[in-house]
Amino acid sequence: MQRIGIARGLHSYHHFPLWRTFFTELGCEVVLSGPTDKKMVEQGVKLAPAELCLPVKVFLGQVAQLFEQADVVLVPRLVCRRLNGDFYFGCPKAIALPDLVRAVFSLPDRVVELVVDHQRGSDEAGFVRCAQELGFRRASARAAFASAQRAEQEAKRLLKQGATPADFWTKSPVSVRQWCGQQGEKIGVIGHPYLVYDDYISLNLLKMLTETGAEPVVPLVTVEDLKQEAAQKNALNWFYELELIARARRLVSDSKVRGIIMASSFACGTAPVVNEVIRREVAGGANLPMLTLLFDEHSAEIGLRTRVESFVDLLRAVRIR
Amino acid sequence: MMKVAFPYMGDIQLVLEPILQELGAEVVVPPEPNRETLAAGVQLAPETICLPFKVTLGNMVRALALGADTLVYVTGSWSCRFGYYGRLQADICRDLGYRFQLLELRRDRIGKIVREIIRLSGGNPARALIRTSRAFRLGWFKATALETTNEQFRQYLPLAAEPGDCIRLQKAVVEEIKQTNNVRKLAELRRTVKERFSRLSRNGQNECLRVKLIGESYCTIEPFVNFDIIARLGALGVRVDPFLTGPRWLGFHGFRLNRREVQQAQRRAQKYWRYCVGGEDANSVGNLIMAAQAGYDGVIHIHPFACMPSTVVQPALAAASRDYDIPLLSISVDEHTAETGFFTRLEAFVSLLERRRRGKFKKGGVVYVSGQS
Repeated sequence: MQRIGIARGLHSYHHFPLWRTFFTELGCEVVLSGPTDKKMVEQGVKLAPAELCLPVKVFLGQVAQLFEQADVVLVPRLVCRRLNGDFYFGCPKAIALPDLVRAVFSLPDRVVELVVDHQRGSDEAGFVRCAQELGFRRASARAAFASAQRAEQEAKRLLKQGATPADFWTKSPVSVRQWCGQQGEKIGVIGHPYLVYDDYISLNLLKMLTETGAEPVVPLVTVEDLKQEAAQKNALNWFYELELIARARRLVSDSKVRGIIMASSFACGTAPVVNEVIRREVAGGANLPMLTLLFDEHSAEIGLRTRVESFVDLLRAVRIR
Repeated sequence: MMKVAFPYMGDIQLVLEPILQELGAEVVVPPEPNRETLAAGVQLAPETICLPFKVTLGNMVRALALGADTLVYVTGSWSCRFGYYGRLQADICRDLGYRFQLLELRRDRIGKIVREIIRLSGGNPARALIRTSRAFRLGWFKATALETTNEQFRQYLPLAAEPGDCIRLQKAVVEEIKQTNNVRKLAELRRTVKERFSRLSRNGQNECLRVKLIGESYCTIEPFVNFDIIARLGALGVRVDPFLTGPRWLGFHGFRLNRREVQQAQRRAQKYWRYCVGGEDANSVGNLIMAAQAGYDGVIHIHPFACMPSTVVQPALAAASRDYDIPLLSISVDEHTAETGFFTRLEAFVSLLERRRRGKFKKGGVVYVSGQS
């Protein structure tokens, strides 16, 4: 039985139930990388060019770990997806990820590339090609994809009930948020799931917010929301960033939300554009206080706590909304 | 009359300005980028956006201050931030209180562009067609004259007895190209420019170090952000050949000329880089390989700090430079880059290349990618 490694980082937060089910149905053993820790970050920082964003560095650290534990490692190439007949792209790093991993590790034979490119074919075609590269038959790949899609639907249902993407790492997701049910100032958090839900990278930002007595709100975004967002006149061309804009729109229209924290990693290429669009175009007239937080491998918890606490204190002192 | 401004880099405005003028628009050209331009851009731009955004924003603000009423941007649906320049810069300039029209050049707005051109010709399509063809003919002659001049300049500068003379001659010829709007005279200039450069007195050397310049387009083309690397290294006796120049950029991206050359570079890059994501990544890898095959001494990769495609391509460039045995220096620049530090690194790289050429290193060489040891 082939052992295929899947890193927790990056877009696993979006697609892990789909990927895991696909490969287990095919008959592979899925090896999940450990949660982000100091060693992974150190390894990733050493392997990656200095100017890459932290989540990509962490991903490389996770892949390094997986090369020791698995036969092959899954590296997705998320080029573009179709929404309302138009194409929406991944960020350059998501598109170039397999090339990056090959160049960094020089183990090209152990990289399994999963291409999602709706310009060239459907999701299914990409998965089938990936399975064929691993030596599986077309028919079994299609069957595996069908049950993977069912698993994804189930995962979406759980998300609606309040699970977070980080709950899916285990087979039976615990659908309770640790920080749910708090009664406090509602503060929206906008950021890529691979940053916000990674406790190590985000220095436990969500938990930190609850500790100040506030209630972090990360609204769920569905495909319908994304379609609506894509239909806007000035929509972004980045697929995963449409999600952030949709989330921001939801937060701005929620009158109970008192402020927004925009969390992004340093050197994230899309963040300056997305944050600027949110600030100017989405939240333009809403008069909503915003805090921008940048995370990198040098971020310190105390500094972050100070900023988060003072933001919450300010919101309490000055009732802007 | 419509007063048009566009973000420009290097010498592309020398080509675009006459084209737009022939079409009937008035062109507002802000002063060449300098420290004030950059300072204005940095103040207004999002902090962590790339350097070309900041410089071009500064440029546009200055153009608006000079009375421009239409901003023209090339945009597109792609994964690089370049596609958002127009929209964000327009937002920022509107906040400053400027009123203007934003004209985005993209596939799905071709109808609007054509309407604008016809409007410039007083609503007469036939007249617009004649003017357009005349405009592009002039642009073509300007571009080729510029290309020939700069080619000669790059070739003769490292071999000139007085680099200053060579630089002065190049400036003089470019000024002539700028002033001449007569196609026949431009053709004449293009014919004679080689002879004018060959009359310069030489330093007696027959050959020099040859370095290929690759990287992100703006950093490769705009002398303000790359500290005029071609002339500076040329004066040190190193011939620097950029893989991209202003007119070539216009040809590749504006008018889709020379697709074969681009495809050739991308085919060579295939092994290292399968999908082009922008920022000239696949082109850079391909050109590094072509430079190695053409016997260049080294490759300099220059890109804006935290440019998405250019940073993610660095390991692939390093791998290709190892496989093809050609030294590579990858440098990022931003608004804090100091000229002295920049050139210290370049000079160190050049002296390594010299030693390598003299046979001090048999095989292998320097592979230095910023931030990697």
